[in-house]
Amino acid sequence: MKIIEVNHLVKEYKKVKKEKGIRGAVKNLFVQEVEMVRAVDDISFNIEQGEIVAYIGPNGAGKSTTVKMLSGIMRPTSGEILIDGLSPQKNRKQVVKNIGVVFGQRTQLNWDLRLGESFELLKKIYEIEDHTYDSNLSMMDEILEISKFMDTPVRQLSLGQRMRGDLVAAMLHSPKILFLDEPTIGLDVEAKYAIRKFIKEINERNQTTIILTTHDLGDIQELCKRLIIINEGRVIEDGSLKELIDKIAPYKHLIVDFYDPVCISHPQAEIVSQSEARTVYKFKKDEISAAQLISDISKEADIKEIGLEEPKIDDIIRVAYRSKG
Amino acid sequence: MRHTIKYYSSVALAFMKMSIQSGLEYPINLIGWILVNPIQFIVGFATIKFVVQEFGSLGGWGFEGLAFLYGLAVLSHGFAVILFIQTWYMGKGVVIGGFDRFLLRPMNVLFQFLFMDFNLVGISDLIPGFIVFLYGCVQVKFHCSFVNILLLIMTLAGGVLIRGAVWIFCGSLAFWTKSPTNFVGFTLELFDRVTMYPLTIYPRALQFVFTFILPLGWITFYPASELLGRRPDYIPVNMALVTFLIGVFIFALSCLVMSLGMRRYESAGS
Amino acid sequence: MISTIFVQCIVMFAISYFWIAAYGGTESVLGTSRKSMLTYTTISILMGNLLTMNVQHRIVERIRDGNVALDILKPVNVYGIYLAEDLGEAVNAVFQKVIPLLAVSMIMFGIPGPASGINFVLFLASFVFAYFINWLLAALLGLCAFQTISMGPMIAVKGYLIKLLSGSIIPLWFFPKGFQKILECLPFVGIYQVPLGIYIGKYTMEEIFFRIGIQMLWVLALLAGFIFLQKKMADRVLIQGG
Repeated sequence: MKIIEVNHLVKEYKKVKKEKGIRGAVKNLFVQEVEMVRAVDDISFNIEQGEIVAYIGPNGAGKSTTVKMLSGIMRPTSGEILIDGLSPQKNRKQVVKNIGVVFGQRTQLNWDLRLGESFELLKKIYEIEDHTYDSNLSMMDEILEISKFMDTPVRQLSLGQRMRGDLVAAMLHSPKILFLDEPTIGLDVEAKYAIRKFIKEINERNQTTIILTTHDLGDIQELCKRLIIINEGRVIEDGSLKELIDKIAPYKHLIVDFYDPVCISHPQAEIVSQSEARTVYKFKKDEISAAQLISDISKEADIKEIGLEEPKIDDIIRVAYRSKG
Repeated sequence: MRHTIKYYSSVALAFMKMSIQSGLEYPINLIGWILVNPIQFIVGFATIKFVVQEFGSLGGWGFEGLAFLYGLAVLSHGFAVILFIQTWYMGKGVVIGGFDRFLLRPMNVLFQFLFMDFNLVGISDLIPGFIVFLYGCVQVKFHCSFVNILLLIMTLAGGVLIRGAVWIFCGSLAFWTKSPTNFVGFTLELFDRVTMYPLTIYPRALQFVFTFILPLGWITFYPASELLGRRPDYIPVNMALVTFLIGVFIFALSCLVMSLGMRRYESAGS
Repeated sequence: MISTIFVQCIVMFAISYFWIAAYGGTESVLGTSRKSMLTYTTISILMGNLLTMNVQHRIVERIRDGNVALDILKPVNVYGIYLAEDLGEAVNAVFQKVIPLLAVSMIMFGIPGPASGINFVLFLASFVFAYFINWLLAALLGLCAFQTISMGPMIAVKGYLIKLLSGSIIPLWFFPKGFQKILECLPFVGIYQVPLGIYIGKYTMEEIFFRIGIQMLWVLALLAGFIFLQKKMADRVLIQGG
C-alpha cells in the first residue's frame, strides 16, 4: 500500500546574483539579477507502508528540502505529494497527525522543564487518549529506557538522552510515518545502538514507515533495505543496497598471503596490488566465486592466509554521488 | 465547533502553565527583575512629580491626571509584555526556522505562536504599574462604578492589542526580509513617550499621526481622557470603547499580515 | 546603528516637547529659559552617546570566563585597553551619532549654542572629568560582579539611577531642596549636571571652578576606590587560586 507518493516534485528558489566589489554592491541596490535555483528538480518515488528508506545525498543535494515538503513545512513549486492519500499542503492538520518528525540538530522539547512535561503537552496537542499514551510510553520505555530520565529537565540531558526524548515525542501520537533527519549525529556508540534498535522495533511492531536522512553508514547498513540517493535535486539511485552494490561495485577483493613471494595471476581476477607475499585480487561476483578462485590459486602456490573483502559502502556511495543518474 | 473550542482552550491553558513553570525555573532571574524594574518607573514617576511641582501643569494636565495616565501606561505595558513578548523574537525565529515546529502540529500556527509564551517576568512591570495606577486613581478620585471598571478593562485590552499588533507588524517584516530585524527598542521607546504623557504636549502634526495613522494615542491618552471626564464635546462616542475596537481591528490586521508572512515562510523556507 | 539614531531622535523630540509643554507660556522658570532647557536636553542626549561604557560588560565577561585572574595581576595593561576601547567608541560615536543627531536637532529646534565661548571651553574641560567619573563608576560596578549573580538587572539599575540622579533629563535645580542637597553630595551630578549647567551658563565663574574642582575630587576618589577594590580582588584571587 503506497503510503507516500511523490510525483514530479519541484522546488525553485530565487537566488539573487551578488556581484563582487563595491561596484557590485551599489549595483545590487538598484538592479537585481535573479537566477532560479532548483533545489529539487523533478523527483518522483513511491514508498510502501512499512518500508525503512534511507534518503541520502551529498550536502546541498536537496534532502532536507524534500523532507520539509513532505512534512508540510514547505510548499513545493510544482508537483504532487500524497501522504496516505492526502496533500500535506492542502490538508496540513490531517496529514500532520499521521507523521512524526525528528530533526537531529533541533529539538521540539521544552528546554527548561522536565522531559515528562513536554510529553504531557504533546498528549494535549495531539489529543492522545490516556490508554494509548500510557501504552506507547511503556513500549518505548522498554527499548529506550526513558523512564530513567523523565524527570530531568531537558537542558540537563546528554545528547543521546535528548535524542531519545525527541524520538519518543515524535512517536507518542502513533504516527504511521516517521521522518528522521540525522538522528544519530554526534551520538556515542551506545546511544546509536539504542536508537537503531528502536527504529527496527517500531517498524516491526507497528509497521511504521521510516524515512531516514543520514550520513552515517552504520545507519544505512543496519536499518535500510532501500536507498534513495539524490544529488543536485534529482534521484540518482533508487533501490536496495544490494542492487546498488551490484550495479556500481559488483566485485569483491580477495587478499592472499602466500608462503613465498610469488605472483600468481588468474584470468578472471585482476591483481590490484602485489608486494612480497601478499597479493590482492579483485574479481567479479558473477564471473567467479570466491571459493573457486581460492581453489584455482592454491593449485599454483601454497596459501598461508586469505581474507575476503566486500566493497566499502562509502566508496560505493561516493561513486553514486558523482554519477548523474 | 464546541469540541474545537474545548481543544484549543485546553492547549492554551497547558501552554500558559508550562510558560509559568519555565519562568519559575529561574527564580533568581525573576526576583532580580522584580526588584529592579520598578526603579525605572519610580524614576519616571519622580520626574513627573518634580516637574509639575515647579511648572504647575503639563499639556493642560495637572499632577493627579498625569499620575493616573502614567499608571495606566505602565499597567498597559506590563500586560503587553506578559502576553506578547514572543513577538520580540520573531525575526530570529524566522531565520532559524523556529516556526517549523508549529507547522508540524495539528493546530493553527498563529494560535500556537500567540499563546505559547506567558512571560512571568512581566510581573515586574505589573506590580509597580498597579501601585502607581491605584495611586493615580486615588488622586483623581476615580469612581469605581461597574461601568467605569468595564471601560477600564476595555481600555487595557485595547491598549494591549494595539501594542501587540505593532510588534507583530514589525516582526512580520522578517518574513520578507529574511533577516532578524529588531524594532523592539524603537517601539518600546515610542510607546513610552506617547502613552506616559498627554498627547497634547506634541505638535499637532504628531498628534494627528498618533490618532489616525498609528493609533498609539488610543492606548492610554484618549481612554484616560474619557475616564477622567475630559471628553471634548465634538466627540460623540466613548473613547475607551473606541480604543477597544481599534485594538481588535488592528490586531486582526496584524494577524492577517502574519498569516501572509507564514505563507511566504512556507514557500521560501529558512 | 541607524535604529539607535532613530530611537535617540524620538527621545530627543519627546523630551524637548515635554519641556515646551511644561513651560507653556512662561519664558523662564527658576532662572532657566525655555531655550536653555531645550539646549540642555539636546546636549544631554549628545553627551549620552559619547558616554556609552563597555568596560562594565568586559569585566563581567572576564569574570564569567574565569580569565579575570590574569587581568587582576596586570591591571594597567588590561584596563588601559578597556579605556582605549571606550574612548575609541566615543570618537566613533561623534561621527556616527552625534553629528547626525545634531543636524536633526538644529533643523527642529535651532542651534543649541553655549552661553559663551568661555563657557564652551569650560564645558569641554568639565566633560573630560565627567567622562572619567562615568567610566570609573562603570568599572567599579563591573568589579562588583564578583559577588552578585545576575548582573543584567544591576546594570539596568545603574543606568536608571544615573539618568535621574545626574540631572541628565531633569536638572537638579528643579528637584525639591532636600533632594538637591543629598544629590549634590553624590558623584552622579558630575556626569551630566555640571557640564550641562556650565554649557547653558547657569553658574557664575566661581561656581564653575568650584564644581569642576568637586568633579576632580570625585575622579580621584573613585580612582582610589577602584585601585583599592582591584587590589582586594587580586589578593583574594591569589589566595583562592582564581
